Amino acid sequence: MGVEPEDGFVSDDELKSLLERWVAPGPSRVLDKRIETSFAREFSGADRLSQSVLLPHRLKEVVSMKFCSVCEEKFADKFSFCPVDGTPLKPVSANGDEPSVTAIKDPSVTASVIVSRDQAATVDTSAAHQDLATDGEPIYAAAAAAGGSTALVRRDEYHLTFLDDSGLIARLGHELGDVRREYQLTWPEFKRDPFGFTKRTFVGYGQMFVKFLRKPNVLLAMGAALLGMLALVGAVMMIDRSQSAGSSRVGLVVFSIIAGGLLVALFSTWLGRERGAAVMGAEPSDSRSVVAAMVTSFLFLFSILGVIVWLEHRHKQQELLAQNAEELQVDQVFDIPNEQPTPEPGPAGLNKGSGGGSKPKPEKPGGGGGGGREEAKPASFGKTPQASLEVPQILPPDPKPPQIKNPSLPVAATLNADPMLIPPDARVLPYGDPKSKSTDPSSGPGKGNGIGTGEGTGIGPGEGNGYGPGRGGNTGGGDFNAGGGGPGGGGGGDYSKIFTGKDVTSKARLLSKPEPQYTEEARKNQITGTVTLKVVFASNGQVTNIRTVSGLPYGLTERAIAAARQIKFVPATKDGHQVSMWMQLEYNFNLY
Amino acid sequence: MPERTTDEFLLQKAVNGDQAAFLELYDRYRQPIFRFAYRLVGSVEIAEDVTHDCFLSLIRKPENFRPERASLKTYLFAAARNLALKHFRDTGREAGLDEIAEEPKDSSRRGPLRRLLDEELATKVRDAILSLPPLQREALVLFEYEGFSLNEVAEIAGTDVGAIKARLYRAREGLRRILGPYLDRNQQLKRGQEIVTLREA
Repeated sequence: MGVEPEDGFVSDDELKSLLERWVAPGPSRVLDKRIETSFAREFSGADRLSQSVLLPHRLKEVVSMKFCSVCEEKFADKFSFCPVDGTPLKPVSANGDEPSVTAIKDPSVTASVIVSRDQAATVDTSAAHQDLATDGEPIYAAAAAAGGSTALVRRDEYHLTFLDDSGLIARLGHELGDVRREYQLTWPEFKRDPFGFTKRTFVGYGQMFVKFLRKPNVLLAMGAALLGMLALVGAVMMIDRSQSAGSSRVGLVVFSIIAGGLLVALFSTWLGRERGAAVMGAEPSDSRSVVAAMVTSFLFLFSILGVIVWLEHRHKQQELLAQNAEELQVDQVFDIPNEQPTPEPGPAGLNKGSGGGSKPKPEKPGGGGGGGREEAKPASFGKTPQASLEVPQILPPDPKPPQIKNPSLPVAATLNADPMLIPPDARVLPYGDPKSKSTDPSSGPGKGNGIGTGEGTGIGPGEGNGYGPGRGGNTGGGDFNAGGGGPGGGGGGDYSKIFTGKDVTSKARLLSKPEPQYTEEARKNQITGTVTLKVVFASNGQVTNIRTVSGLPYGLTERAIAAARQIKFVPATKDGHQVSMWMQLEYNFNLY
Repeated sequence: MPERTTDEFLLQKAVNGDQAAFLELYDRYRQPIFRFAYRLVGSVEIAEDVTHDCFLSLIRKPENFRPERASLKTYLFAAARNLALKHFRDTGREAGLDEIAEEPKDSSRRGPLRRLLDEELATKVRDAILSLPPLQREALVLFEYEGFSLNEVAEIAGTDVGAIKARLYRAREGLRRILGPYLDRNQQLKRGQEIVTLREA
């Protein structure tokens, strides 16, 4: 071929390099197969009309077809059952000059008629396994394949496929290959018309399933399989239960016997049927081997279960023997409680914790105290004096300072209470009722030189030299009782103080958190950073005690504080009370 | 003629039913024929149909191929071209134009942004070429992508070199008009790919 002058058409590298960005894909393997098949078809002489362009078949598939005796259609070799009605397919040669494998052995019988039962008996005596059905309807459907070959099969015969001459692995590989090929064949069709394809598929499989179910032996076989599975599962569950409770072992044995007997009965019924055993509709010879295999596998399973049970039993016996050999003696039985009793929350102690007092075992404290000097004003706020149960009280507490200046023998006021519940208070405060809100020094309207509304030398509304409601000293309410349970106070939580996050039952929950606005100066000066505030989410729903941990200039800290004040929240709770809680807030100021 | 002398021999055997010879022939030309068909019709399915019918025509109507007139390759391309044009006549040009999912993903080892840009560019080029009239497109594809000489293109298209030149010229003008913004950038891409990456980021 001569070289032509092509100036102006070869030098356009720029455009060409751009054009090269569009890369064409290579031809697919599907195309290769399609062409291969088409070539084969061109020369095989097979009818072209029946071959879909999208469903190519290999040459060997074209020559080895299978024939369905019910719907009288030919199908590809890969089908074992008719895709339309589930009938086992019989191999038929493409030329049709050989009888198929399971066709009757007598070559003289080539009639393509439906014969009745009586006629059938005369037709074929050599094929013993295709014996007669007991019902009167026509049972043989002899149909002529293309070219005159005859396949004579019983209508409701159903062949097992998993017991075949070839090995399991080989069959599995074959099946997988079929799946792959099927996928390759159907994918283009699916891509062309996904909805129609899906619909057709569902309808086809639905018909297949219905036809499958309509076969008389199928439901029986399914029931048998279900029963077998139930028996197995039941046995396993029984074994599981018998490990925890030994009494049901008898039940297990009984159940096993019943289940085994049931299974044997089930199989033997099929075995003993006159028309030949028909497990899942298989032929008698197949069925027998299937039943044998099933019985063997069940025996195997039960023997394994038996071995397991026996081993378990032996193990337990050995343990028992070992225990006896050690000759241990029971000395004492301890009752270990699952949980420690916690004292009721109340006006009892002032300490933190859930214990009841100094005694080692948990015990609820009891008692209380009260007093007052019959003053008009309520008892004033103050700290409690040193509490002790051992040292007897000499001097009751008094909110007013002692009259004698610089006494030569000072005597400290005390309370008769457990110091575990009322800890020493180091604050510089006059004595008084810690729960009072009055600040005017007063011992309260009670009697007996104590503080409060009660009677005695203690503090509070009770009687005695203790603290709080109750009688006879100590604290906790009721009559005196020295509590126990380790350090800590007996309930009596003070819900007015400010808690930290780890002390509350449920933390404060934010409802709305307004964002602070930039100040103009801060924006001009490009101030960015974080303002950290320490605040109290108070029990009344307000943000109080705002302290700046770290701030920013140009009014940003003020803006952050203003934003913090507008926070709406649900207060934290402790033991069902709304309490105040410390929180740390961080406001990020960013300029974009 | 520099073609392999066995092409005709293989064809002879294939026509007589030798599958191996046919497959050998097919293997020689499947890639360019399919590529050509794909670029003409813009769809993998239709390109497969065209390729299939093109090769099958070799054995169905072997008398159409005359070795004294052209090489087998030229004949195959001409057959594919006619089939593609027939497809256009039959169905209109819109068929299968929107199957971008079939684009080959060859740039997977590059960064995601570059890959995105490459794919976008490839799609633009593809759309531009598919927007050309079929005759211009075929001339362009044969000349630019398949590397045929003007003479060969003329032979395949069944016309003279002058007409091919005119078609090519118009095709290039059309592409330049559509792909104008990408032509400059393409130069940049070739010089240094980082520039585009940074600018796009």
